[in-house]
Amino acid sequence: MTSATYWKFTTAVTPAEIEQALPKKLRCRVLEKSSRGLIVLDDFHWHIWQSGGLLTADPQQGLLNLSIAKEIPTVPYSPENRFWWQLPSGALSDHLRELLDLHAFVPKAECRLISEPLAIINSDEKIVTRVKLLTLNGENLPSSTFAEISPLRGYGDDYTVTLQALSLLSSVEVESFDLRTLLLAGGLHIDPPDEKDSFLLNPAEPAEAAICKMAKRMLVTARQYEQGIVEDIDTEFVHQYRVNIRKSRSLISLFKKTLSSERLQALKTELKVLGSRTNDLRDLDVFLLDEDYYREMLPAELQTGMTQVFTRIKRRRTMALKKVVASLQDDAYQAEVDHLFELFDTEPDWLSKQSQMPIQQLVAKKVLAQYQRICANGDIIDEQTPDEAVHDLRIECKKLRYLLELFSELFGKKKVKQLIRHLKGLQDNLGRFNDFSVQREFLSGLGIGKTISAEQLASINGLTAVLFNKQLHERSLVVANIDKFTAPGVRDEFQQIFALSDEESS
Amino acid sequence: MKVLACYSIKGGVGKTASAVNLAYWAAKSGYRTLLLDLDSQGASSFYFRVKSPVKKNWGKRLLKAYGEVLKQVKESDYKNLDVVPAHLSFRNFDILLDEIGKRKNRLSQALKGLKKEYDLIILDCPPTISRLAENIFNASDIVLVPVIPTTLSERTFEQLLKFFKQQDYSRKKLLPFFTMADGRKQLHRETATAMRKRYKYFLKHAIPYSTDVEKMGKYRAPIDIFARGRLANKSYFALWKEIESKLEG
Ligand SMILES: Nc1ncnc2c1ncn2[C@@H]1O[C@H](COP(=O)(O)OP(=O)(O)OP(=O)(O)O)[C@@H](O)[C@H]1O
Ligand SMILES: [Mg+2]
Repeated sequence: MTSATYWKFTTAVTPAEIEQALPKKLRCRVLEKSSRGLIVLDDFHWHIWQSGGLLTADPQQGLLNLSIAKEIPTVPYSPENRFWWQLPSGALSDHLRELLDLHAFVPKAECRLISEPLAIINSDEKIVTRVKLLTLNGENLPSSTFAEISPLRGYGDDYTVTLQALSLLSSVEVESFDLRTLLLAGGLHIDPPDEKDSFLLNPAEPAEAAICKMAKRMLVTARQYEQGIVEDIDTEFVHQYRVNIRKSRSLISLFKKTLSSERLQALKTELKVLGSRTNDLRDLDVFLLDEDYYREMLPAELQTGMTQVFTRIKRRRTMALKKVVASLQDDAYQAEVDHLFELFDTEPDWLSKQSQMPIQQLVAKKVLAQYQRICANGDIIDEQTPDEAVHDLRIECKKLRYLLELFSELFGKKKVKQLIRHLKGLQDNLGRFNDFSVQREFLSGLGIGKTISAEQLASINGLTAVLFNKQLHERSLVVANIDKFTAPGVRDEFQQIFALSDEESS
Repeated sequence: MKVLACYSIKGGVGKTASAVNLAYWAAKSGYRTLLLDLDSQGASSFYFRVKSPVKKNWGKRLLKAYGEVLKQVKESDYKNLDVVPAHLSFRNFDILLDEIGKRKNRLSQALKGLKKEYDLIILDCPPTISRLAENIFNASDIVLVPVIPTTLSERTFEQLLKFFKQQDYSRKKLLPFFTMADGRKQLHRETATAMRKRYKYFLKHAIPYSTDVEKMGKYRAPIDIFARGRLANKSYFALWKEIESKLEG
């Protein structure tokens, strides 16, 4: 038994036109007609779509539906809800948490789906073939009609005749019919930001050219997030904007010897200015995102003070955002960015030895040197060493992380990933250690000022104490983690991957 | 897979009307249902607007292999419901059965192969007590017997009981129910009461006399399609629910 086939009409088609195309003995009857509005939702990256799912809202019924491999119940839809945590808890919000985390889901396309089930009947008025017309009308989608044509058992001949008739109506067969294919065939444009983690580096490329090319790409990537910051869609836009600028800055300073001192100075200063504009906003975002985390640390009697603190921070965040938005829309900002691109695009100066070195060779040298430095610095850290040294080690680890991540394509991504996994254990530990001190510092900043209520102060002090204890605990794990990362096995792995033979490095 | 026959020795008692509406409700309740129109008159085929291709004597093949049955299946206009239309050659079932051999489980064997595709087979039977009838009794899990509450019908039902006893069929297969019951007629009321007393296994639900059943001929559809809210429709639905509980039990 053949199953249904799916067709797309290149021009709109009506039941009357279908009947006309059929042989006389068959007629076409409209069974019913219904239509519903449909809003396609996703985040900036199209995470839901990329995972094979589809999030849609029906504005009339006020329902939000996530279609994934298995069936999950719909939830009420309201345009104000843009994050998984704003939805009623349950399967749908759980899945969105997995797929989107901190990203907001926003309307991507709006359309109406008109469904028209038809019956092809014979002279006994017996249904011999079923046709379901689906028309997609969209504001930003071209209108298009699709048909699902289902044979009825025992009526194969009539099915064939119907298909022949429909082929006269300029239709083309399509693969299947879920809403995703329908939307795609109807012209939905999937446009995630460009975030490829590969730079298509040539191992022999001279370092100066390679570094400028990479740093420029990062700035281009960062700029993709500007609009989302302006629209304040979610906190990830600022975050990703900053991450890319920071990567660009680190790359420049890691390879400072490949650049002329004028170019280096200009790039360093300007990238720093670019990044620092969003410092306040990001700090406030981080604090606000951690609301639950902070509240869990405090006893009930200190919660009122905490509420006051958060109200204050939210106000400050609104102000900080305004400032960022204004600066992004400023002509001066545009000029800065233009200048940065100019700096990246200038012809290489080839002033230093390093500027002309093949990039692969230079990176290999740097990775080994950086690992050596971490081993040496780590070696002198014990339980009593002042925090300063631990913070410095964190920064050195971060540099190594950048080197490994940014250039993994030159050394085999799989092998490098393994090394990153080793590094990550130590980094996570150092990162938490640092987070606690940053949080304490942020909180102590909040405790200054005449307007601070006694309740707020009590909450802040309570939190600071808890954080201090957590930091002590984290500190107690550092030595063991350093030992793990500097163990002979890991050393060997670094040697194997990065100690290039002369042949390779030439 | 269960097999349900709508059977009576007597003609015109509502076998076909019952087969059609019960098949419809079974399908609507989610049973993958096949209605096999064994009556060469083709009444239930007519109600479902299906026709048999003009092929010679496929009745003979029907009795030989289920593969032949599957070839004749027509999908109805309703979800889950297929129909095997009647064929003129079905007139000669009895002769055929004689030719093929005296085995009484030919039909049963032909139906067995349908197990994978259907949950329920409903047989609309011609009014006969013959070799075909024996095949039907053998193949069926339940033999539904429409009984008009009149003296004459009571007698035919008794004949059927006797036949079952003689042939050693399990009486438990028999599920009689009243059709065309007319509450205004004293005779109907009295006969029904008396029979229910004697035969405790009569189904609780009865089908009243109703022009809506007759109208099936005009609309060529189950009653639910054109007289949804009417008593006859509700009665067939209730009857189906009662039968369903017996199928499950
Ligand atoms: N409950 C009812 N009320 C009124 N008329 C009915 C009812 N049931 C059946 N009829 C009518 O009685 C006639 C015979 O019914 P039906 O064809 O269902 O009986 P049958 O037992 O299948 O007959 P046959 O033995 O000829 O196959 C039909 O015209 C039908 O419309
Ligand atoms: Mg009949």
